Parts: sequence; structure tokens; C-alpha cells
Amino acid sequence: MTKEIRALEDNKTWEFATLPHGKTALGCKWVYKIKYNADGSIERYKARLVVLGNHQVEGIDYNETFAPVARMVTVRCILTIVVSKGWSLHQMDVHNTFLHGDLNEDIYMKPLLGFSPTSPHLVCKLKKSLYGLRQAPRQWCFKLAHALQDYGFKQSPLDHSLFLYNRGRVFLALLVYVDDMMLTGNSSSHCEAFKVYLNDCFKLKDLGALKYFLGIEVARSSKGLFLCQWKYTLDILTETGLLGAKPSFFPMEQKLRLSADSGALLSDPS
Amino acid sequence: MQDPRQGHWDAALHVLRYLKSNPGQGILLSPTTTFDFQVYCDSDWGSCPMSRRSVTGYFIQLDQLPISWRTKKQDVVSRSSVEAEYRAMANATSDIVWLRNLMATLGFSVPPATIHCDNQASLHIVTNPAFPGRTKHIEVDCHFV
Repeated sequence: MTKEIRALEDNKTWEFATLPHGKTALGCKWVYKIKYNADGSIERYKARLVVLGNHQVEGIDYNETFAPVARMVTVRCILTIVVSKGWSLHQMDVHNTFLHGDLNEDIYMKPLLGFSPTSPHLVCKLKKSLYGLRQAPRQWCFKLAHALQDYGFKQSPLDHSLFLYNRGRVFLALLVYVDDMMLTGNSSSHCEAFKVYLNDCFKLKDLGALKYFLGIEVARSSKGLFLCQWKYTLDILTETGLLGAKPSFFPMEQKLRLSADSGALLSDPS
Repeated sequence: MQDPRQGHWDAALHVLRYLKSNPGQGILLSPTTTFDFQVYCDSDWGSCPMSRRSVTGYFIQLDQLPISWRTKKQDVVSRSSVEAEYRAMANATSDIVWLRNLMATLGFSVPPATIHCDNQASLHIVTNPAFPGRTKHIEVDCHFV
């Protein structure tokens, strides 16, 4: 929790200001979460300050919220190329992703408990985007795209989350899924140089070789890459309480016809 | 999904029991040299009992490696199985065009893709440049195969 507050302060996320007439201040709260590793062991406990973005009003507090994410097909295409060419694969993660985005709109937030300003009439005016804001993913995406373009990357028109770098004989491809990034290229030294650049722009966590991307476990051997969702499958089974169920060998009965008006209505659909 | 019934619930549990049988199953991507796309497409004509719409399905392989797959209920009613099949082909084609473009931007030359289809009549439409009159309504939607 102190880590999160420090990040917010380092980032100069807000300044105290008086609330102008006609504006409302948004509430905020803490969200606590336990982060797990790919094998299910506990990685760390995390506290995150979020703004109650569900009280934001369209047109006043936010305008555009669209932000692109990677297609799974693109991920598989890139991985196939990586395997065929024997390139190295790197995975990175950005610390406090959404805090990097700049805001175009004026947004006010009620001060945090325990961090009250000197005067009770002051509220926090947000300078950077904060988790929970409707436009946070979009603003982050803009910021990242700008940083990448400064380095020489080009955004692919086919998949907006794919960034390509092509200079001389060096070719780098970066795939972005909000804050998870997958980097590959024909030159390891350029990959490293790029990571240093990105670390200067945003605080980066280098996760080394690709192991766990978007819930998919990736294992590399001499034969190729193996993708599976073992942990995700087990999570679903645990959640539904079917871990002890009898396994079936086909996903569906043959010639199964489902219709909307035959059979008993479920009494409690949720 | 509004108004789920017992049958739907049973089917959902069935899928989960299938997952239970082999949770560690996955895809092995092995090295390839030629980027040769194979497209398999099919359709199930009028299979939805409520709306009688058909279902498109396609599967794209890159040198034996599964890359892209999809199954989707078509958004219009087809009047014949040929029409449904042809529509599935059109969907698969639009995806393969995108994939080939993607590979090209990544700097790989891709040989023309092969589309596999199990409907003779649809194949005739594809190979015959002169469309017969009865297929005019399909042409508008899918002419770019």
C-alpha cells in the first residue's frame, strides 16, 4: 500500500485545488488483490487505488474510451515466426500502467482518507490518469504509442497493438496487450537496448523469456513452443466445483439440438 | 443468454467435464520453413432450430500448425446449402487475406493459400467466372472469394 502511494506521489498524479462550480468530485477506494505466479504460488499482495469511474458522465468527464488489444491470431502468428526463425522472446510488464496516461479532461477526486489537505474545501485535481477512469486504457495506449514512435516503431495498420521496427537488418516486433508486452526480433542486443529505452520512459518489469502470456503458458524446447492453458482450465474447474467430476472425452453430445423453448426453465440462472 | 434451460446447463457441464479429461492439452508450434496456409471451411445449413440460420466454421493452418479458427452463426438466412457454404468460404477468405497481409508486413513472402471446401456446387461457383442467374443474391455479399 505504501508502495502504491509512493508511486502516485512520484508520478505527481494529482494536485490540490478548489472544486469549481458545477463539477463533482469522484470518490475513490482501495482494492486489494493477491497476485499469483504461473504455478499458482503467491507472488505478492497488492493494493491499488481506484477512482469510481462508474460515476463519470460521458461528454463531460470522458469522451473517447476505445483502446485496442491484441488478437490471439496475431499472437500465434508471431510465435510461429519466432519458432521458425529461432528468435528470442522477451516479456515485459509495466509498473502502474494506467498512471502514465495524461488526461485531456478536468477530473476531480475526493481526497484520500488519511491524506486530507490543509483546508477541507480542497479536492484532488487529477493530472495523470488513474485506475478506474473510463479513459485510462486509451490514454495509456496513446502514451505508449508515442513513446514507441519516438524510438522508430511503426504501428501496424492490421493490428493496432502490433508495433514493428525495421531499420537496416534489424527487425523488432512488439505486441502489446494493455500492459503486458511481448518483444521479439532478429537481434538480441537491439532487444536489450530497446528494453533500456522503454524502462527510461516507464518503469518496466523485465520478466525474461516468455513463460506466461494472457493466461497461456508457453514452454520452449528444441522441438518448438508448446502453448497450453493448464492453470486456467484448473481454475475454471475449481470455480465450478467440478474437479472431482467424471471426465468426458468429447465436448458435446452428437446431434445435440438446443432450443430456447423446450426443457425445464432453470429456477436460479445466476 | 436469457432464459437458460436444463438442457443448456447440462451441455455447459459437459464441456467442463471434457476440460477435466485433459487440462494440459495444448498446441505445439514447431519450426516451419515455408509459410504455406491451408484453409478448411464448412457450414451447417439451417442448423439453428429457432432462426434457421446456418453456421460458418473455418480453420486455418500454417504448415500443419493451427493458427486461426472460428465458428459463428451467420447473420442472414441462406436459401440453399450452397449459399451457406459459399458464405463460409467468403468469411474464411477475408481472414486469410488479413493473415497474409500480416505475414507480409512481418517481412515474409507467403505463397497463395489453399482453400478446402466439401461442397461441389460452391466450388463450381468459385471456378466459374460467369455466375448463373440464381446466385446473383449471393454474389453481392461474397463475390471476392
